[in-house]
Amino acid sequence: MISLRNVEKSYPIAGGQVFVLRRVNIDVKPGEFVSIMGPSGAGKSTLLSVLGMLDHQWKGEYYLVDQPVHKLSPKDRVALNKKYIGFVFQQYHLLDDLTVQENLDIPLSYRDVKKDQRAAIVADTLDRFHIVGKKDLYPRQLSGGQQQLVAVARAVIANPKIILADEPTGNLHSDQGREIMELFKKLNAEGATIIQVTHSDVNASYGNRVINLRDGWVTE
Amino acid sequence: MNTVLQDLRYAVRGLLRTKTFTVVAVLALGLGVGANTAMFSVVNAVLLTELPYPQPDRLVMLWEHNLSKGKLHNVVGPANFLAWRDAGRSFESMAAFFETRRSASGIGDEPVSVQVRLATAAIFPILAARPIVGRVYTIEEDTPAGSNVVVISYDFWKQRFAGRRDVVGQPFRLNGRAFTVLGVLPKNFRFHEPVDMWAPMALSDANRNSPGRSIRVIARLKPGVTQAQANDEMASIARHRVEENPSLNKNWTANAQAMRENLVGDVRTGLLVLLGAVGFLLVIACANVANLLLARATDREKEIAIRASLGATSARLVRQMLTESVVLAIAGSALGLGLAVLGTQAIVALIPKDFPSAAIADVAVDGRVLIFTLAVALVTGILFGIVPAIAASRGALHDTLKEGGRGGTAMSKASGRVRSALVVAEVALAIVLLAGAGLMMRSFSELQRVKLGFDADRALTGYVSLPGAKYRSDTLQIAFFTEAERKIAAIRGVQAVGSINFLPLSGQRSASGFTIPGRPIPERGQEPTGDMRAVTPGYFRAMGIPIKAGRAISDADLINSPDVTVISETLARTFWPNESAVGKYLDFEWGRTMHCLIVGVAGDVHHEGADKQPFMEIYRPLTQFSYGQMTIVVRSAGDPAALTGSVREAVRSLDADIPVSPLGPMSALVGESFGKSRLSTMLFGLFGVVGLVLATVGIYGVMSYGVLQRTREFGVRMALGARPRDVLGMVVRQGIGLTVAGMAIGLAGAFGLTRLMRTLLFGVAPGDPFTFIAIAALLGAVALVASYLPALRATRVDPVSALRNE
Repeated sequence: MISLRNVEKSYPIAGGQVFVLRRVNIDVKPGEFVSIMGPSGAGKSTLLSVLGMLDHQWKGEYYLVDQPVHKLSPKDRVALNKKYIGFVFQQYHLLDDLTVQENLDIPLSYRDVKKDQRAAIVADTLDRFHIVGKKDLYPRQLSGGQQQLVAVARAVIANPKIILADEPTGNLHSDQGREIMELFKKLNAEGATIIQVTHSDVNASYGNRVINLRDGWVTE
Repeated sequence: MNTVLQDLRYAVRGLLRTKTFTVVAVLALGLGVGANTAMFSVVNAVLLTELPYPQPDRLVMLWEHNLSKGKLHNVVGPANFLAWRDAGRSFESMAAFFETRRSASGIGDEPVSVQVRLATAAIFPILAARPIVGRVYTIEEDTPAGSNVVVISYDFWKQRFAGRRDVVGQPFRLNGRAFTVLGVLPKNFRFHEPVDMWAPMALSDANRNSPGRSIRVIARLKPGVTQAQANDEMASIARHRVEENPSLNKNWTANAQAMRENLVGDVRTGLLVLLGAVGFLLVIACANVANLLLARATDREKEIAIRASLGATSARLVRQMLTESVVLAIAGSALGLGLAVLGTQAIVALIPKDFPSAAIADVAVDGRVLIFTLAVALVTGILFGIVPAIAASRGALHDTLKEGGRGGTAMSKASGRVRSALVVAEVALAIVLLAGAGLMMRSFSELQRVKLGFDADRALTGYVSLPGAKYRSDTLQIAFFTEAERKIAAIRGVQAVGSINFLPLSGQRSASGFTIPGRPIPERGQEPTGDMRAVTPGYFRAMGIPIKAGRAISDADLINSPDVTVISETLARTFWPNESAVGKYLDFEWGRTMHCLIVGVAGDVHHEGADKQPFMEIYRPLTQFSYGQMTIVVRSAGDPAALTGSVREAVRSLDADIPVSPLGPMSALVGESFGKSRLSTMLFGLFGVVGLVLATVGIYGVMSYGVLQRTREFGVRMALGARPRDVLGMVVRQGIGLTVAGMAIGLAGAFGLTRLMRTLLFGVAPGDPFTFIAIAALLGAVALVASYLPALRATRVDPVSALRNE
């Protein structure tokens, strides 16, 4: 499903380049639950951004569902992102001005789903994530765990094949973190491919494979 | 479609959530659009719109030019007008006119004072005036024999005849003579100052030898004839006139002036300078909106990045931002439109009555101007609203999401630099505006400090015009005014009463050349000119004009007594600088040769307003210099308005057919005389204040946002031991740095640009250092406060929470 070949990312500095990712070669099969681990500054989040096509400044080859991402224009990459990927962030990144319901509606709106269809999907998702009672609340009215629950719901609402999660429990206490990880496990069991960045061995244990990064190199 | 509505809904909600941003942006846009539209609508109507006559470029005013005194546009002698009309080949037709106040009776129960324009019949075809009822008078009726007809104005028709269509043929009396109404002019017909009615001037061959100059002349050029050709011909005719009538025309020539130039020449500079000032205001407003939008966009980098990560295309992001900008611009424009309507009405209401343009009454908000200013506001909003969206859609979302929207990205840093530059520009423009406003205020203050030479407080004035048919002789006229003053003096509360033919500030005057016996007689046309005044003995006391030497006109100066005069100080000083003028003589021709003994010297009077120098005035007793039209001045012990009824009644008790009108306090006339200066000062002051407020908002916005962006830095600094005053100093220094840069550029610009205001200023130079220092100090103080408040916030940053938030 995902194949990276010799992917490199670097920044110019005085007197040379500083590498964030070095010759990264990774393959992820459909239905896998992969955890990317490593010390701070290893390049974990950068790798996730490359996978999620939030970062275009890299070299190498990247195939997503057999599509050569490295050859696509930014516009086509956005289209591919919309089709296959849902993103969950450590800081939740819900839109402050929108209610829970509207936050869920946004990805569908960007995918040009018709209004009545969107309403039905949003209603189903609210029900599925047990947040119907919160639908008219704004993010600031929710706890951190509730916000991340909404963020996960938003990530999956467009039915993506791949969920990318960047330290999804990093800002949550342990009970909330466990609930979110159980949710990922359930989504994975339902067929979603999940790639998470985590520092936690416990969180990694929910997955079936770990990719270790150190100074930009894969040390798997 | 529903996603557009969704964008719209979210845009409105977002703007409502950030109320301060929205209110400031909408106010800035509204003020910029409103002020510009209002000001340009006035300028457009006065300077740019065609005059409301067919082929207005062919209309010219013809003037006499006094070569020895350099007066380019002097009123014309009837004798010369008749000669020009006969000889002029450049003109299709030519008409003469002048205005006077008369007493009309037989219209309603009471006599009324009416403003009459006496004009030759050709004026109607020249101006293409077509009556809506009846007809205008013909050349045959414009003769001494057939001149008992009038054409009335629309307003007079509505007010005095209730708009009745059978008004044609309506008889009434004008200064005692029988007249009939011939027709009614259209509502929108305007020419120079508004009048109640037009009557034939009735010139005849007898006027070919008339002395003096008192009329204005308008002409329509033949097709293809230029103003320069007309000018040449007028000069040539004038040369012939010198030969034909040297006593009248030596040292005189003649010229043609485009009618538009005549109407707007005096006010053009003022209007253009104000238009420039209001243009500056628009630029400041736009810079402010740009500043606010950039700050907001930087704040929203994170939101834009999240949206992009959720699948929003660039087009969709741009559309979202565009929707917000458009909503903002529409709100600002709606406010701007409201302000434009109110502003236009306010400016028109403030315009003094003597404003020269006929078009001023028709000023309305100009649609083209409104669209232009709206477009400027919209483009500003769109440009600064969507640029960040485009940048974000192309940038590294990863960085933005990682930075947590704290504004540490390259774009936010670039935006910070642009915003600082915008603030410098705002301050610079505000300084120029404030310099203009400061100079106008100083000028107005200087103007008001001028002592007009009389005491307007507690003085009541009323104009009386005696019907020539009834008061045929000087004796009858003198008797009337003497008796009227006696009756008024008996009214309780009256301290003094007197009369004059041309009241100061009335806009009316009459001058005559004079000679001094025993001194060389100057050539014709080069003799000194004095302003002739007919007064009654009580006038100086009633008007509060001091007698500096000798005595005032007295009851002993009778019709058959030796001719006497009281002259003004300027006249006395000019001709008798080192000796008393009292006891000397002045000679002049006024129907007969008058050989007048100077019995007194009166204080100078600014007859045409504080900004004009006093004339050399020659006061003559009414008994020896009779006039049928006089203004009665009553000095009251209390409120002069309280005497209005009694004074009117006293005059009516002498003759029920004679109205006293207009009757009002002299202080009102003084107030009106400052009208144009007050208007310019008020508008400039308003623009300056709005510019200052906008620039302050700009400085405050940049500094506040800078503090917010640097919260973590301040937290670190304070954790490392920085004292609050160190942080305070850092922030205030940055704000003052931007202000000083803006002030330096602004002051340099102001030194150059205020030169254009030279003709608008009185008693203050364009580069007046006091004004410049004062406005720099004002802006510096305001900038200090605008920087200090965010700086104070910076000192209250809690290092622990600032660092934890990161």
